Amino acid sequence: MSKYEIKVEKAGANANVVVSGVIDEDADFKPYDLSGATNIDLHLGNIKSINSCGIREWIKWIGTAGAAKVQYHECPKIIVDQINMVQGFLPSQGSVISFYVPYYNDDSGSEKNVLFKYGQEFTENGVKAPEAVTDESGAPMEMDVVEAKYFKFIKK
Amino acid sequence: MKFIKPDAIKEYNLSPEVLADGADFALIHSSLWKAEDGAHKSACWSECMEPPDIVKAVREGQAPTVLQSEPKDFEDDVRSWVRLRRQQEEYFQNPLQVLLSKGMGYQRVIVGDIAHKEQARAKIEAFAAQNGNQGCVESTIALFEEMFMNAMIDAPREAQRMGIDRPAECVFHMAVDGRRLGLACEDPFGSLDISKVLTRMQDVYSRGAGQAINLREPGGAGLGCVLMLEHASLLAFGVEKARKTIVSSLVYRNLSFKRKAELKKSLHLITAE
Repeated sequence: MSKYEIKVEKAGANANVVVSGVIDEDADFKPYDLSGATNIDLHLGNIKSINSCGIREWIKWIGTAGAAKVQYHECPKIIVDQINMVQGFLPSQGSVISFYVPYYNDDSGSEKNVLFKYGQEFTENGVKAPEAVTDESGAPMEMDVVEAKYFKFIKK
Repeated sequence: MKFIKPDAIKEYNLSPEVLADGADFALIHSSLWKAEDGAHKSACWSECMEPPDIVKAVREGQAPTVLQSEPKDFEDDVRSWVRLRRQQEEYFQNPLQVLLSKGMGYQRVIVGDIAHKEQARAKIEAFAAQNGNQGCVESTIALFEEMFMNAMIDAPREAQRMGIDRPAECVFHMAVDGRRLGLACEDPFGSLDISKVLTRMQDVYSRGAGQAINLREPGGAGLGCVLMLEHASLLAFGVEKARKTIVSSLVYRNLSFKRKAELKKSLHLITAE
């Protein structure tokens, strides 16, 4: 069984791509050329990890999209971290449509990832976090990020 | 021990016992550190250095160690540092027993073939999940990934250039103490060039990862060591040239992402004479 999976569905000028699993030095993106599409939606919610070689292969791969409109969906924290840290991980013509934000309760240590969606919890102008996030027992949880760093990509 | 700190810093103190134990050691605050202070038994300590400053202090400031700890971990980390420098050969036998002075639950995962990566990763991920929260698992896996590539891909390739031709293999060491998880990776090549690593890290920090990344050259992307320092609260590079390299890390087990992001990091360089 492969460590990772890439599914590309093309319909005319649109491409819907689902990437999941572990993106490492063995990830081969070459069979999944993105050229020819003008709208590319990438669903990333099931990516488990990406290492430095995976980051490099990703940047080379996403470059094959050319001038296409690229949208990242359901970005887990590990992908948001790369978007913020590595220029080019999100191409210049790309945008994030949804991403996960970790929440934490200091007393119980409970953790949760909340999906922030464009137009609801964030826009280009900033973040409007949900009013209340609670864990399974109803205890309040706090946003568990350094906001200036985690939401840096939104301001670009 | 010569323990030099500015008068304004009140939180960091060392007991008389620790000061007496390290009588021939010098622990000098970053604001007072000079390159001439750099010696085997001296360390630069601080509470405010960001990763690029740490790399600069080690590379240009000649500090073999930059020590930054939470006040509650400071004394333990100083003891570990003294032990590390006094009995350096012990690091190359049991790295985590040196770095985690109150460590327990020691385990090793032997990787005899690059094809065994997934099995090793699963064991290490399980260990991290048993002993820490989501952030601990995420960081431990990120460290595993970069350590694995260094040991199983980069090290044998560099060793071949040194005339050492042997198959890739490595050993992962794992342990915990009350607050932190240790992960170390040992390879039998001793081909890590620490000077080259530090130069590369400085380049990544100064130009940014997106500009500095190796997109075209053969070999790695050149971001691995920076990624390791970003995920670890303590990182150590130990090299016995042509014999062994051990890269070690400590990760907090149960801190929030936010709290971890606030903490400063430590870096040790260990080169066997």
